[in-house]
Order: sequence, then structure tokens, then C-alpha cells
Amino acid sequence: MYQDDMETSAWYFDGQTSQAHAVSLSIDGQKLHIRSNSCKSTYAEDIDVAVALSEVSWAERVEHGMRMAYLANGGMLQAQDNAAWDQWTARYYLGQHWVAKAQLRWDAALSSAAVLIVLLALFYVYGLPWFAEVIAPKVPVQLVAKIGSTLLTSLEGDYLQPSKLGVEQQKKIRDTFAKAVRQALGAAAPDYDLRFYASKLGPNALALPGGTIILTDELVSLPPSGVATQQLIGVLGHELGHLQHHDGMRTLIQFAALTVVIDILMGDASSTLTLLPTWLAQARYSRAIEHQADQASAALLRANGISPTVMAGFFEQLACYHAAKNAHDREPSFLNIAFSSHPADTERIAFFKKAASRLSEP
Amino acid sequence: MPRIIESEPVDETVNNPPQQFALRFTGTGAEYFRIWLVNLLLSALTLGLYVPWARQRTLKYFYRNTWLANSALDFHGDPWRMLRGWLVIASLVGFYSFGKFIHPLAPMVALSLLMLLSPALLCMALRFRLANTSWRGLRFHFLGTIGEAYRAQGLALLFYLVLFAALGANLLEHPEANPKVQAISQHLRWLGWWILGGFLATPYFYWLLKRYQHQHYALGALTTRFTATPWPLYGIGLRAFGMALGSIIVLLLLGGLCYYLAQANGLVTPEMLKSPVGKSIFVLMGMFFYLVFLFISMLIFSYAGARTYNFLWSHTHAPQITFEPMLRAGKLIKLTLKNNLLILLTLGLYYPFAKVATYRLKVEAMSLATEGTLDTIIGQQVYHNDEAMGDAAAEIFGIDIAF
Repeated sequence: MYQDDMETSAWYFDGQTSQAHAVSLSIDGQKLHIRSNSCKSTYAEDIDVAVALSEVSWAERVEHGMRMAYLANGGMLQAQDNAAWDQWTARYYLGQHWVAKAQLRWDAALSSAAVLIVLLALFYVYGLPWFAEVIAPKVPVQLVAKIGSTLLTSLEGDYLQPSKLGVEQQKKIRDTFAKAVRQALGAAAPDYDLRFYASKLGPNALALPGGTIILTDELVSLPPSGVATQQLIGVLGHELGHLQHHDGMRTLIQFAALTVVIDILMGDASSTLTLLPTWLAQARYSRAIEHQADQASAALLRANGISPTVMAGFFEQLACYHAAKNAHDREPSFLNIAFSSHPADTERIAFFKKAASRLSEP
Repeated sequence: MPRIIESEPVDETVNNPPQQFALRFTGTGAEYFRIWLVNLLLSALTLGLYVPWARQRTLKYFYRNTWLANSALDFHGDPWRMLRGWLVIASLVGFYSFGKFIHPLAPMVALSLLMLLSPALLCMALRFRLANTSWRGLRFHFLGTIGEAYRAQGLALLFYLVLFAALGANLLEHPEANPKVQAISQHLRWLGWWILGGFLATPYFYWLLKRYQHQHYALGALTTRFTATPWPLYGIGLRAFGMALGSIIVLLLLGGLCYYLAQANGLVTPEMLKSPVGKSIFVLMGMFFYLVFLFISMLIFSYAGARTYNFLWSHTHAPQITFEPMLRAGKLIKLTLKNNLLILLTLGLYYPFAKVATYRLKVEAMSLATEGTLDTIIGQQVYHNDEAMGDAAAEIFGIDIAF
């Protein structure tokens, strides 16, 4: 037997033993013919079968790997010479798969990689935030409340102590804020539960998933002489904004997705190494979320006839407090600025001043 | 085929001369790099759903480039099946990572569940992997059962579960400051002994696991036997531990020397140590030495890995086949060093090249010594019903764990 363009040599294995049989392959219509190549065969038995092409599974090409095909009866064919096999199968367009082709050629691989990288970037900038924004409001209320109460319990353990503010003062703040919310949002206001605590966290306000808003004593009594009621309304309005936008769940969803993607990209790298990129990626999202909450705060103030510029005074007071505290502790806080997820205070002051000028617009 | 009936005893070795077959690997780093890159990006874009396909492509690439006696291996796992197993494991891991937002004990529960299931998962993964690996059209099999897996890993499981229970008990009590300290110090003593015991038993646990694996491999009618004892593993472990201890001592001495010299030259003063700059330098130096130690332990791991690989496979036998592994620890150590440096320098892009190089070193260090050719040794496949069912069950879950 001689080999021409229409035939190629192969080894046939019957799937029952490891014995190799030398055969020739040829294609006739929709059938694959497998015939013994007697000059190379080590057994005298002749193989002469015709198999429907639809029952043959041609393996994808792997550059230096074995070329082969699987038969429905459990047997398999292995190429005797890779180059000849490739030529022969190419003739009949056997065994081509788009992902395999992308892998084989450098330009295809690199261009598909480029496309994928662009898609990943779009996912990060637009896709995931949009997804989180859409899904967060749909999470069952009970689950959100459960998450919030778990967080509150863990905070109460270490960071939150009972408030030292007078009952009268707490009531005054609560009532003023409730009135402001009614004025601005009416029935559309989200449910919330305002709580006061003394805290290691210093002057701060938090909004937890489920509606709990926390205001620390240290913020209410910020030196030199506390915070004005109008400014407190601005701060609480910011936290209410978080609740309105379901920011707790949004952050959780974004963080979960980011963690998964970064873990996949970093593969076998240790889990501590993945913390940094995750943190940085999440920081960018946080700045956007905080800015939206600032917008809600400005809107609430405007609806109550208060100029958003009052917040500028608040941030300046807060900055003085932090500067004094740092000077006292003698610890440089430059690291904090780098990783801070709150927009730098100067940006926020500028925003509120600008928001005030819109009051005068028709 | 005509049968020749011999009337006289025939010298088998004449017709079946002993042969040696070395494994060959024809894959290249450049080729795998392309597969790896596409896999990575698609996996990231699909938030991990693509991973079973990525695994399948990787295994197909590595297997079809692994040659024994002029025929290569192949992998047949169906990614859709593998997706099922992947989702099961991913949800358990997800619970471990994010369950704490729902309940503080959730991570412990998820971890304990994973641990309790791990022998079953291991058995299914081995069955799935081997039943989907073929050579010359013949499928491999893993003959171990889930029950045997639990027997093999039972002791190790017990050790870890008790450890976690002790640690978890501290979490359960929401204590104020003092009771917490009390509880821990009460536990501390027997916990310490328990951990030491576990440490000493680790080579034995490892031997139990490997024995379970190595005595249940099969190809057609060929099944493997495992003749190793645990003691040489203790030898390897002891040497590795000694090297680790030695390097810690050397590093501490070096650190101490640096400090002494710096102090002697007036570079270090008590005031400087108290200042924030001094503190951060101290911390940085500490981190540096720690990283150096991590690096050294990676090399010690390579040494132990090479010795263990050789030991385990040279004590695995099949009828008329012996495995002759010749993995040189020195070569593996050098390769690991080179790989890790380049991975660091290229921010991870060298990883696929490193993986190919390591695989090649390990695979090409292996040869099989046979009495006769590999064509006639492997005979008719013998199918036992429960093996088929075991394979089918593994197929349903499609659990495949990277080894």
C-alpha cells in the first residue's frame, strides 16, 4: 500500500488492549475507511471497517501533542506523523474549534487577550457598579436587616459604648432630623433608626444595612463647641443618603465580586497579596458612593432651606480636630490619605460650596 | 491469531525482554502561556464560571503532551459536569468567606463541613480524574471507595476537628475581657500538647493518604500496590524541619549581628528606636527577614517534595512494571528558585512557563521498567460493577480538584 493525498497512516487501538495496529485512513463521502496497512502491522489480522464520519470525534490540535480521533465503538486512532495528519485533516476541515484556534496563533491569542482586558476594564468601571445598583434594592429586606444587626452586634462589642449625651439633647436631634426628613422626602423617606453611642472611632456617623444610623458623642460634641444643628442635619442627611441608595448591599456585592475576580486573576498568589489590589479597587467604588451620599445630603439641606455651605464649616472644624489629634499622637497620617475611601475633605468642601450656589439658580 | 502451544518451558525473557520507557513531555511554556492567558481572562470575566472549561483545556494540553511509549495521554472530562462540582465547592468556600455577615459562626461551620466532606470529595475527585484519563484508548481507574477514604483520613480529620472545636469554643462565648483570657489559658495547655501531637503525626497522616491513593490506581487489568512504610517519610520530614530550624537560627544570628554592628557604629540609639521612623525601619527589617525565611522554606519544600516523590513512586508496583523515579532534589530546588524569582519580576506573567518547566522536570524524571513490551502487558479491561457505579457517581458531581 502506498500513501497518497487521499490517505494517511495511523495507529489504531481497539480500546480493549494497548496493542497498536498500523492502518490507513481514507474518506469517501460521509464515511471514514480504516484499512490495515499490512507491511507495518505486527498481527496478521486485517482491519477493514467503514465508520460514519459523524461518529468520529477529531481531537483539537495541540502543537506538539498527539494527533488523534476517537471512534464511537471505543477505539481510537493516533497519527503516525503529525505533519501528514494535519495536512490530511485540514483538507476535510476536521476538528477545528474557535478557542483552540485562538490559542494556537500568537496574534489571535494576543488580540483576544486585548479584547478580554478591555471587557474586564469596562466591567470594573461600569458593569459591576450598574449590576450592584440594580440588585441591591432587590435583596430581601430580612436578609439585609440580619446583616445589619450582625454588624451592629460586632461593633457594639468593641467600638460602641453607651452614649453620654443627655436624653433631652438626643430627643432634640432626633426630632429636628425627623422633621427635616419629612419636609424633604415625605412618604418616600426610608425607614431608619437613629442611635447614639460613645465610640473609640472618634467623631463619626455610620449607616448600617437595615436602617440603623449611628451618631457618635464625639461628633456631636466636636471641639471647640459642638456641632450646629443645621450641620448635624447635613451629616445625618449624608447617612440617610446611604440608606436611600442601599449602599450597604451595593458595597457588599461589589466587594464580593471584586474579591472573586482578583482571586482568580492572582491565582496561586497568597491571600494576603490579594488584599491590596482588592482594597484599592474597592476604594475607587467607595469614593463614588460617598459622593452620591454627599449629593443626597445637599438635597436634604436645600429642601429645608438650609444652605449647603454650612457643611464647609463642619469639615473645617473636623479637619482642625484631626490635625490637633495627630499633633498630639505624633503619628504621621499620610498612609491614611492614600488609602482613604472618603473623598479628600477639600473636594467635599468644594462640592458643598458649589451645591450652595445652585440654590440661587432658578 | 494462531496459538502456539509450547511443549517445553520457554524462557519468557527471550520473547519478553525487559524494557525501559521514559516519559516525555512535548509542551512548551510559550504555548501554554496563550492557553493560560485566555483561561485567566475568561474566568475573571465570568466571575469564575469559566473555570471548569479552563481546567479542562489545561489538563488536555498537559496530558496530550505527555508521552509514554509513543502514545500520549488524554483527558475526557466534560466541563458541564465539572461545573456542577465546581459550584458545590465554590458555594462552600463562598459561605466561608462571606457567611460572617450573616452569623459570626458561619465561617467555622462552612470550614468544618468542608473538612468533614473532604475524604468523600477526594475520592470522587480521584475517580473522576482517573476515569477521564486515557492512554491508547484505555481508561485509567481509581479503585478506592469513599469508606476507605474516611478510614485513611479519619485520624487527621479528628485532629483538625478537635482543634477547630477548641478554637471555636472561644468564639462562642461572647466574653468580656477577663473571662476570655481565662478561657484561653485554660485551653492553652492541652491545646499546646494536641498541636504538638498533630505536628508529630503529620508524616503518618500523609503516609495514610498516599497509601490510599497509590494502592488503588488501575489501567485495564493492571492495578498498583504500595509497599512503602511511614518511617522514611519521618526521615525526610526531620531533615526538612532541621533545615528550617537551622535557617531560622542563622537568620536570627544575622539579624542580631546587623543590630549589634549598627549599634556599635552609633547608627542605632534608644531615642531613634522610639521614634516613628525608627519603628518603621525595625518593622521593615523584620518583614525583610520574614520574606527571606519564606523564600528559604519554599526551597526546603522543593527538597522534601522531590525526595517524597521519589520515595512514593519507587515503592509503587504493578504486575511486571516498576516505576523508576529519578527526580533530583538539587534540580528541583534550582528550578523552584528560578521560577519564583521570575514570577516575582514579571508580576506573575511567568507563571505558565514555570508550571510547564516544573511539570516537565517531574514527568521526565519518571521511567517505567517493564518485563516485556507495554503492548502485551495490559490486557482485557476487567469491569467490576461497583467501580463503574463509583465512577458514575463521580461523574454526576464532576468534582475535580487540582493536585
